[in-house]
Amino acid sequence: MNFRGVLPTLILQNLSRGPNHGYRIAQEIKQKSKGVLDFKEGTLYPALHGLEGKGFITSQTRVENGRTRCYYELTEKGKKALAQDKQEWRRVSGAFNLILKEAM
Amino acid sequence: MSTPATQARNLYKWLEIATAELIPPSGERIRLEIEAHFADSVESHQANGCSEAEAHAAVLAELGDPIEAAKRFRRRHLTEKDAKQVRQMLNVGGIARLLAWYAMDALFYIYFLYFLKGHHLPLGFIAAALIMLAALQTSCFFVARPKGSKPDIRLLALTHVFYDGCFVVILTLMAVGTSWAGVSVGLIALCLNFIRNLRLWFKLGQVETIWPEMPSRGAPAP
Repeated sequence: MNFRGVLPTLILQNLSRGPNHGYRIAQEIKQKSKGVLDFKEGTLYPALHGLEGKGFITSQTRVENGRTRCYYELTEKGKKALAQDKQEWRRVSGAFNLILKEAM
Repeated sequence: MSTPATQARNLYKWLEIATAELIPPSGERIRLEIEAHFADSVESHQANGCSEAEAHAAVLAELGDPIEAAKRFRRRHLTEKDAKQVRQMLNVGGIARLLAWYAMDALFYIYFLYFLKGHHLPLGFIAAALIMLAALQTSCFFVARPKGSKPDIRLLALTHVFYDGCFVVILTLMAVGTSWAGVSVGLIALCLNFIRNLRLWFKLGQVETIWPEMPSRGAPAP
């Protein structure tokens, strides 16, 4: 299944716990989903930049151990978008489950 | 067998493909992020018992297809082509150029009045169209040169979309029932410009908050 469409919501959820950088966001999503959701860098960073473009997150560059890291932080607009996404996801997944149960 | 040195070169090859066509600030930003991600990921693989070469190979595979990544990055960042288009919009010159544009508009209408002899449109419509186009042209000019602040590039793109759109409608109305031969080339060019500006306006909606990407007025070409 293609889960790319849910990546922005997963990123927003991850950032709702505080600022984070790309690598750690990817690792945390992978760990929490027990390896099911493993997004490649070529998918993760365009999604992060897209969310920044929409004003849902902001970025700040920091140098740590000689590495330039871009930390992302959720904005108020992003918090609202996350709340809406969660609500929508619950509604759609509930409907999806009902159909799957019926098919079984 | 490939060594970490060759694989590192492959990372740069991956970055070169993934950031192709993007404007330099975007390419640089992506490069720094991916390099840091790559180094973190290599460290993690090594901590799990991989050799340096194995770790590099695994992380390179995890990067994914650079061509697909390039497509996604191009949707999220300004390309050289977009930046050139923005620079053209910003390069409005001074008041003298604006007056020259008014003169061009007037000449255009004189040509049409001559060319489309016996046209069906009332003179009042022609006059209103001329005033509207001049007003939109003036808007493009002042949106591109706000006093004391950076121009709103998206608004500028939208103004150009309106200008081209109105021009297309007026040109079509003028040509209907008379002759298409004299306007077809101009109409096609205007339609293409309208689509180009509309696409830019949509795209700027995705990147507008990333201000360092925006070329400022009079900035040299990258």
